Amino acid sequence: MVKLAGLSLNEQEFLTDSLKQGIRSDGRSLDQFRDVEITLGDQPGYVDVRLGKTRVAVRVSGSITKPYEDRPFEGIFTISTEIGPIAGAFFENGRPSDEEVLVSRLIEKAIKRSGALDVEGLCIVAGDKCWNIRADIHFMDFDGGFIDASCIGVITALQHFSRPEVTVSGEQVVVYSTDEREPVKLSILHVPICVTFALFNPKEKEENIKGGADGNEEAGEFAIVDATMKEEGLSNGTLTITMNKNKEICQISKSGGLPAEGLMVMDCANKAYGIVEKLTDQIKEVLKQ
Amino acid sequence: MELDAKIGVLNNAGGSSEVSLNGIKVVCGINGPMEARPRQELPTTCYLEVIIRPAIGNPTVREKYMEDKIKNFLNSVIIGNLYPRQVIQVNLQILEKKNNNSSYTSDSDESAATEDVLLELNCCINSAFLALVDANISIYKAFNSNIFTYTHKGSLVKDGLSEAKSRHLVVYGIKNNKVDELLYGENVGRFSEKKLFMALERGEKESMILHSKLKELSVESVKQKFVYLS
Repeated sequence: MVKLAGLSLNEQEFLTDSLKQGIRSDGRSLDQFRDVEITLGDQPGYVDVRLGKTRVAVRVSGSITKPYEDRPFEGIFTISTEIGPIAGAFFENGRPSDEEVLVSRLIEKAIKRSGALDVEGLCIVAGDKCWNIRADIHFMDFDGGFIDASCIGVITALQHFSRPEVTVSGEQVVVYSTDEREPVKLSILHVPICVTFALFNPKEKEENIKGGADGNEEAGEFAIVDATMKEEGLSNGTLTITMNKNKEICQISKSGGLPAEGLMVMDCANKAYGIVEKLTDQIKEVLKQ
Repeated sequence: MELDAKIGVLNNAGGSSEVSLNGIKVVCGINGPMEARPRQELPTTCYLEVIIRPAIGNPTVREKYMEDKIKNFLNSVIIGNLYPRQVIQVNLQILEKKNNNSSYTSDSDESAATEDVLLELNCCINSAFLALVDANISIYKAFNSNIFTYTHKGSLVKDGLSEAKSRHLVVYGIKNNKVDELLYGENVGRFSEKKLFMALERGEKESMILHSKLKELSVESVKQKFVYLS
């Protein structure tokens, strides 16, 4: 993400050395996710997620528009991700960096393309009127894990949101206010959760290119769960796995160029499942209130 | 509605605050004073950048308008010559907005949207003041914003009701615990000159009340950050 913002060489070395020994600066173990705090707003569709010092607010809203011409039976679902300088002065206003583009594409892939929201249920009149559900993600404080936090935020907000009841009689579409008729919840097909691992290579830099496992030598790369901003800056690559509670992988994305062993990816997926299970239960618990 | 505010809510920003007022919730984060890009650099004073982001959708001309208004009067409040060739960035993120049917919007809601500008400005200005204090940026005077409404029956009430004949946003500067001058005013609707003066007069009183509240909060924030030897 933000490459080593304000980290001295000493600190960089200290942090990587301690990570090699399995110690993190905030006292977590390598495969421990930070505590997630989910707060629901008074209005349906507003969710505030805190992941350690990272803070993300998600606002889901709906309006009625015309569906896309090539998809007349489907509603529209858009996710807007724009990171402003409020999250940190290193994010520039109106000029997304490569990492920001990566964040928004990953979230889009994890939630929209995995079919978490039933878009066919958003159709009102085929080819003429449909719901446009929009999720605005407001990034407010950055300390690593933007993808994980916003994924939790969007999926919780979608479940929290309810749209006004609509009836169709002939050509006419009637939208009832929330006082007149009970608003309708969106139909969510599954709950994808992202877990991001930061990959580290404890050995020389050359190995990033050559790949270390030439038979007799062990690769030695390791992954840590839910990196903070500093750890993210130091890492040699990231691996984001999106999973749901049914143990289905919705999306997997590895960036940074560090070669990783297949077994390690399997191991990460297993660890991710444990976290996904816990988070799904937490979201359910929060929404019950 | 009562003002609910917190100071120092964000970690990365130099100063920050979160204010809920009249059903609107705003988070303000201030970055700076920091190095300016060559384009922004002013040789004798600081460059002020105000960024407002709406709760729903992308920023439009409406947000640009609000940014301009806030920027203009903040420029007269911040002691710019202390920060030459530097930039101070004021980020305002509107989080929640209470309408009757806020989760559902259609194109016909646009007239209502212009009405809300005053309510949003009101919340943004108060939040910006607290964040400026939190960011330790020198200002000539304290300030706060109040909003008044003339109902259809002609009575003057504090805070923005949805049914109103006219609405008045009043921002007073406060120096040495006394109302110093009118920094900024914005009025919407139909009203007479006399009514405007009455609203301004009421604003003076209310702004002292609000100031004592904001002061309490900011004193607390300063106390936490600095240790003074008595």
